[in-house]
Amino acid sequence: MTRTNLLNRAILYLIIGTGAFCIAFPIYWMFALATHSTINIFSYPPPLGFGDQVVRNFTVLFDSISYARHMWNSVFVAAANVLLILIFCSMGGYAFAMYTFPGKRWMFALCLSTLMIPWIANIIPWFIVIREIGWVDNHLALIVPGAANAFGIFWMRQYISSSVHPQLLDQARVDGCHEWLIFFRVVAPTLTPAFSALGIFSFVTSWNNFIVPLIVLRSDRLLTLPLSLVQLTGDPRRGTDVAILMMAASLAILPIVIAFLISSRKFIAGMMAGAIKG
Amino acid sequence: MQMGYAETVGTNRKPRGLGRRMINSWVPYSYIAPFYVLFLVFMAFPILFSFYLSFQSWDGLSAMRFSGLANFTRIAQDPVFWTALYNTLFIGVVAHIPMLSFALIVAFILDSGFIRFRHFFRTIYFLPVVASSVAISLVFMNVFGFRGGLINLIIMAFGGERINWLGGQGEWVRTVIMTVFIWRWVGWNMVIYLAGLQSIPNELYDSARIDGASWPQVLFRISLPLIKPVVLFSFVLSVVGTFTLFDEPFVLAGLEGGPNRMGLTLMVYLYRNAFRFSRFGYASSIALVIMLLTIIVAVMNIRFFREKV
Repeated sequence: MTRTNLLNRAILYLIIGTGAFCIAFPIYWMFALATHSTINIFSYPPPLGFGDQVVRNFTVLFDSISYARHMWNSVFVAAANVLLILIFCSMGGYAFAMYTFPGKRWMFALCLSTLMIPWIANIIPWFIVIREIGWVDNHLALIVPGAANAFGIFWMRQYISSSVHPQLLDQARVDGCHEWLIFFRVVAPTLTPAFSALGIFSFVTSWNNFIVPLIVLRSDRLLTLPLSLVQLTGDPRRGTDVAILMMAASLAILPIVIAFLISSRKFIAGMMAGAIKG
Repeated sequence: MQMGYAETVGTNRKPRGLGRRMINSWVPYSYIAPFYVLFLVFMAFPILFSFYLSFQSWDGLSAMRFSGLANFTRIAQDPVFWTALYNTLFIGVVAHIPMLSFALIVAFILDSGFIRFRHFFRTIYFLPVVASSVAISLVFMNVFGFRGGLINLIIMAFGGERINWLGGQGEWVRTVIMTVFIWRWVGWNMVIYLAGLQSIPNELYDSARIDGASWPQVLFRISLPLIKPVVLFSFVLSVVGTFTLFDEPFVLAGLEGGPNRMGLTLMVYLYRNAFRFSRFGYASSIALVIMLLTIIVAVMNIRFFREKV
């Protein structure tokens, strides 16, 4: 009885353990390869553990290309994007959750109807708009349009209508708070959980975004990390310095992975916020 | 001064009547205004404009020329487009079978309570969701490398012939892309299922146990039917996601889609037409095909739901 039970349990552990290993190993291996020399990487059998070239790879990476600059660009773009999304989406979600006004229903329907459309397929006209505004090769093209985030509005509206009491607003009015300031003074401070979920989701999305910067950015000093990585792969015929590439990839993933491991519960909740879209 | 602001907002939003009520609602209007300005310019307008563009011949610079259905007849006769469409659908359909079944199995195991370190496993499985797709694709280039790749190392350890995963005739490129895709999203789906399973009330399980139901019975009679909507929902979302698959095929197979274009997807082909060859009109009609595919899946999904309810 207990024996079969133990066996069952072992099988279950084996299944999810194997899966977890397959998931974690490529990330581990990336970090490991970043500490070897390229010659070492291509030797047979390839190295599985850590090597001793970490300092060398690190310095070569930061000397040869503007990697530090690209990393700063990624941080700046993602942070600015998140800030705008949090402000605009919470304001919009608040209006939809707490007020009635003419046109509210169809405006919200319009917003929701774009959720199911694969927005990225419309990248061409989107790019035309960006070009007309003069934002080609400009970080603004990555920061500002992203704030028009139908999902963010929906998310904030759901959260506000379920967690903010209309009485709170009345109370503020009685206390003499100006109608327009109620949101900033009274409501916004209570939205921290929604802010952190939407903020994490938006930051990770922006940090990992590839196609939009690929289309918009041209000059080297403006590139974000994913573009920097592709740039490092260079000419496939001459070959790539794989060790440097793995160092760059590791450093691009590391900040997010560390943040994720520190507060994985919050991250999973935040990233899963994207799943309630439909 | 406040009134003036309200009026501008009001007139911008809706020119017709309703005067007083709209002016009285200036506060909510001013709250949604920033969002809606951006939304109309960067989302709603491009979607409509894309539709218009697909009936034009345009290189993005000179004047547009109305070309009727020319773009679509060209699509029909373009073998590269059909290759891209086939690859996209192939990846979309085939990758989901192992991914969703494995996600389901892991979710069941974690929900069953036989396992400790539940949160640890959930964290590991979810890790790829937050990792950069470009960085991950580059790592998998090494994992599937011809000379120093891990997979070939394993194959050779078992006495097999090593495989040229990303080269040769391109017969393995799609497999690599699908592997990266599965690797990235299995945890995301698993967490959705786990949430679905955990929302099933415990009383159901308790009464099943009292009635003497076996483990498979509980699985097939209670758990599976109850989370079916969740599975279907994540499936639709995920399939729609594959229609615009770009990062992985771009990095792993390149703009040309690798040998014999075996790794070319619709989105990469769209990108190549628009931003390398400046065929904006033609690329827009590819975009329209992607949107049509999405709508078809969405409609099928709604139908399926109706049958069930």
